[in-house]
Amino acid sequence: MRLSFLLPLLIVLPLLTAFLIPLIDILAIALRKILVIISISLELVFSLSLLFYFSPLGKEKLPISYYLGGWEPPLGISLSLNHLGLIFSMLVSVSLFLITLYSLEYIEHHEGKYYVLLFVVLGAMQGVVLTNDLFNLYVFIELLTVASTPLVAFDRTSSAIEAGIKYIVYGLLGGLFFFIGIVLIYLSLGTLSLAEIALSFSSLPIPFQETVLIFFIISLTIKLGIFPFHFWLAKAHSSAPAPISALLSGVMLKLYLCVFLRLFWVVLDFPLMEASWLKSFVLYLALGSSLLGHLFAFQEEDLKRLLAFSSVGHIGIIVAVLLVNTPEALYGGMLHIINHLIMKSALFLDSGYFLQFTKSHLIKDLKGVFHYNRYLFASFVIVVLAMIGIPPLNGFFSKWYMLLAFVEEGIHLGGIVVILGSLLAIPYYFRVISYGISPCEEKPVVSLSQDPPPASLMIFTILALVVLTVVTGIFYFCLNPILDGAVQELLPLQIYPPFPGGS
Amino acid sequence: MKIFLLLVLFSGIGFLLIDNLRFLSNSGFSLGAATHYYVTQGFEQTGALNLVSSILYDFRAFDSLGESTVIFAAVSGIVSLLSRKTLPVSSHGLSIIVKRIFGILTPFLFVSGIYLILHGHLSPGGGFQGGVILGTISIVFCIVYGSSFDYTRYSPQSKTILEVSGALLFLAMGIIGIFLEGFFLANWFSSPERLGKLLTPGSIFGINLGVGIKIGAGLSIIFYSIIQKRIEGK
Amino acid sequence: MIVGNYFSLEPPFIFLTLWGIFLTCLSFLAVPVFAPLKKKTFALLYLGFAGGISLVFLSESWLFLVIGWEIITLTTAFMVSQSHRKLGQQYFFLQFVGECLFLYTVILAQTTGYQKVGVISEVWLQNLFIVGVGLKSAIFGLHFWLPPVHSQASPPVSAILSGLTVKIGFVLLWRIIPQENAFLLGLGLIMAIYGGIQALLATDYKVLLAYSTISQLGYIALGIGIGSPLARAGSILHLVAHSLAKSTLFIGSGLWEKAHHTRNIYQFQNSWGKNPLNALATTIGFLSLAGIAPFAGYAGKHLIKLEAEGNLWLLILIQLISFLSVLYSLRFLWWGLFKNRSNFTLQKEVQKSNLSFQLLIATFILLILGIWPSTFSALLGIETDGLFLWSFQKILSNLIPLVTGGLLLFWLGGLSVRPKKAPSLDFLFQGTYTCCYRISRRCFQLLDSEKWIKEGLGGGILLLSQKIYRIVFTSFSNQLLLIPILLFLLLLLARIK
Repeated sequence: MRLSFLLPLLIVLPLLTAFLIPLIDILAIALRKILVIISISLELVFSLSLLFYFSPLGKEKLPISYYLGGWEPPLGISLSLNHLGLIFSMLVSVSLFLITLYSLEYIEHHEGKYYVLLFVVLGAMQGVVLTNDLFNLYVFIELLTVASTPLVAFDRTSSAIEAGIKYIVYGLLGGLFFFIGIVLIYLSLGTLSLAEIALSFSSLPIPFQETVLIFFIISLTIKLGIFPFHFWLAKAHSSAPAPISALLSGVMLKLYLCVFLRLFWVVLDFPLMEASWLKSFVLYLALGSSLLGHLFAFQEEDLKRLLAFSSVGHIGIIVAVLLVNTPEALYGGMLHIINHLIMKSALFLDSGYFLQFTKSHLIKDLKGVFHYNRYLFASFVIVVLAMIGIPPLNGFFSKWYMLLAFVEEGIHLGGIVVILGSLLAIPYYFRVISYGISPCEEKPVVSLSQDPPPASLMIFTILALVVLTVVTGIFYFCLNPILDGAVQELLPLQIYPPFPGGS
Repeated sequence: MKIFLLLVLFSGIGFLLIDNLRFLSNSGFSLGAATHYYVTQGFEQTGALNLVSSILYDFRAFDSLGESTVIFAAVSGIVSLLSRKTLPVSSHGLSIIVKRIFGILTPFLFVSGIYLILHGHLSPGGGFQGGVILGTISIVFCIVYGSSFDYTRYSPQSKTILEVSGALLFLAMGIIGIFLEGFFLANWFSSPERLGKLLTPGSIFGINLGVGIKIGAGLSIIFYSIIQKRIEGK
Repeated sequence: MIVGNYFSLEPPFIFLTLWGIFLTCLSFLAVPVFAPLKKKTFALLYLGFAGGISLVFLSESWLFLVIGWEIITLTTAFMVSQSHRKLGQQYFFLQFVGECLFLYTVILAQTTGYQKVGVISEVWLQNLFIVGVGLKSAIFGLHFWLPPVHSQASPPVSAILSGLTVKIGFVLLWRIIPQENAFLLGLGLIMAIYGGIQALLATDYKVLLAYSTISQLGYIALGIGIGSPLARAGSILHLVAHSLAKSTLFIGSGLWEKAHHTRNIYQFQNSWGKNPLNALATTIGFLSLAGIAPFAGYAGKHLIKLEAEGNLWLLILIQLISFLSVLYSLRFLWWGLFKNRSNFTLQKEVQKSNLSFQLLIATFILLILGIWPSTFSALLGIETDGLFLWSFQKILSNLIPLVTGGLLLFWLGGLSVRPKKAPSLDFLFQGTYTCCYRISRRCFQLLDSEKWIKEGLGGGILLLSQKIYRIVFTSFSNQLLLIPILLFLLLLLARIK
């Protein structure tokens, strides 16, 4: 229990850094980089120590909680950490660590404000993962939206500004529906603590429950970019600077998935959702969205938009497989959350490196650009292979478990969508690769300066992500203890096989 | 045609919502245990006569931290998106009458803002409201005396320092709570004899102050970022 | 412990693994001749390939099987793309489609309750597996990619593609299908006949070899389809024999191409003079393919024929197929090796392409396989006591097709046909890609939900608000009218309450 002081620290430390950066900018601008590095490393260390203490090796047991201000749940706000939270907290810390390192060399103007916003986003992400209070969750979601909007529009071109406006409008709309849901719950139950809502939500009349569920579903559909609301995602993810694209596509969408899991499985009444048509509606919507995402990526001419549409496809399939709600499905879904985070961040960061040298983001302008750095090109190919689902890279294992889950429940459409998704992915990624390695006579136009900027940290970050891709592929079963814990939390009554499919 | 469809759509949504939420009007709003506790015990437990303040800055102070960070993020975002480093400085302002009258009014405005902040735990008001009034002063300065007036006297840097120190004060209150009471953002109010006085040794007072400074400075920064234009436009 | 759980260490699989590694090494020996600049890359790829082969043959868990097979696909695709990048991509894509089919079948098997790779008793699942394996192992109907890829890849790569890669599916089918399977039997017959005829009409040497691969694969499928123990034994023996023969022939084909500067079999001249060892190896390889005793292919074919003796029609068909393979083997031997050997002179510089060691070993083992097949079948764990004894009948059954085939060929004038265009996958890929692109473009335009929301909802709300604005604020008098209306409404409400 002594460790529980780390929970508020995980949220407050980034906020503190964000508050300090403007001060440091005025006092001694050279110290900013040091502050940023120290702070992000400390965050990583805290997160890793949590993992270490609560892993099967450590003695401590999850879940733990922390009462802010000493007020117990119905009165005040509490933070809590369970296996699900541990996974997402880890993911956020690790990926933000790498993204920050990458940004140190990538961002070239308004660095001070950039890191302020990045750290606010980090704090908000940890808050979303750790908080145990519905309204607090809403506050952090809004904070996430507000803080990431300037980052989306950070390039200040007209298309970036347009994307930023669309992003914040849809983000706030999603937040609005979320808020209506919260209001309805508070009006009927008089409490905002997630645990208390979970206890008494099913006692409400069914039409009322369904209304609340629908509001939350609409909110999260907008936030996750499921089909009718997918376009803002492509715009925002493509016009942001590369580390922010990685952040949005890799981490933030996963965070909304975390909210999705916690809300619908732990807090609100999943059996009700399963009994009514809501579950199958969302499931098939997500499947359709997944297929369309890959189809849209197929015709895309712009590399970053292509990656963004591929994210639409992957998020759709994850939502669908989570909704199947069997142990295998939840396991596969969460594995794919982790894997897709790693892969998509790597792809965005990698393409960010190469797009520095080209005139535009169009694929046909990529000619010969992969010759700038052979290692990064190789890493691009490896990650693309992982994305398609080639063993022993990580994408394959999540594909395997997702297929298993769909077929076991007889949802063959889901299996077909998984297969078609990876089939469609081959030509569109191969087009990028074949343009990139095609020899070209004239050197590609360098947009920023004639010499490529120093990029050892950028390269390190990308290679680290690639190593993670390979390692989480080969040793994916090392994640089992935590993933099993998370699955058990979501399915309290079922016993979960330790190593499914392997034997 | 489009309008007709929309009307049908919205009336349909409204009808369904009313139908589904009829339960609420039948059973009335449920006031949970927490609400009851806030109303009956709030004053004794937190030392804040203003129950809204006691909820905002003590029971749910973490929410307020998040909300003030939203403002902070908005300020940073707007500055990073809009700042062009050039400010069309004008010292024209409005007529002399307005300038004089506003000169007389400003101290009162300032006092009322400060009053709202400092008395946040005793009377209606608080850091957010008082801070907005403080921010308004700087906006009115720009309108009445021209943009150069405020800009030359109070540089953006000093405003940033104010804003950041407000935010840091908020966090400091939380961290003092750890040392005195053992919990982050715990109210370290412990002397019942000063209950209801202006200078209570609790964290609500400090948080109010921090939020007030932060909001005031933040709004001012936002305003001055928005009115900046490209120098070529002039 | 893990090894025991996930891998099966029974004799046939261990032997097959060792055999696969041996063939991989044998093919790798040819790499320095055909791709001297990329030795290191190829060494890495061959290593990965060998690992994949062992994983596939030894694994008892579906997961590892799929992983191993996918590693093989990946390494072979990289090998193909070392010389032909486009072809490599096409090959990879097709193999990946096959992989998807197979993956789905495996998942179905696993959810049906088969946790381990082994005998599957449901016929529908067996048939699904045949289709699932189909694209990767070129079962008839899904074989279209094999001739272009195998004929255009560089020789050492073709050798392991044709010798090992396509065989994996048949080893798997051999493992999971215990009894007769009419579907596979029929497919095998069609494959053997179709491949035989195409090989008979081919003019490009490597295309001929590729089609002969299809026909011999048909033979293997036939054996598995018949399903009796001896037929199964025969098909696995034939698989082993064919893999060695075909790799030898493909590597030899590379040497021939270097020597004659063409792959057109009518233009082969003085083959014996240019490379006698290769000519010998090619001859023995083709005789093995034809199933002539005492060369390697004969044992397996013999066992399958023995099994088919109960069924007259089947026997006739199988004899016909054997005759076909004899026919195309003889045709090539005639055109390629024996026709133009007028000026028999050893040419030093060609002979220097030092694959003699590799070819010698291959020839030697092909002979051993043919002369003492029972040792090999013992290694595979098959009891074949006294089945390979020499008899008058057997010699006759060997001689009859040889002699009749030779006479037929003589009568037909060596069956010379006009050269065909080299098979290519470009058209297929271009078409599919354009089609997919159009569909996705269409979808993107049709399902542009941004436009719906922007114009439908947003525009509608704008219009609505304008309408309301006009109604309410048309004129000053209307605005004044609002006051009595409000008053009336309030009074009315108070009244109702």
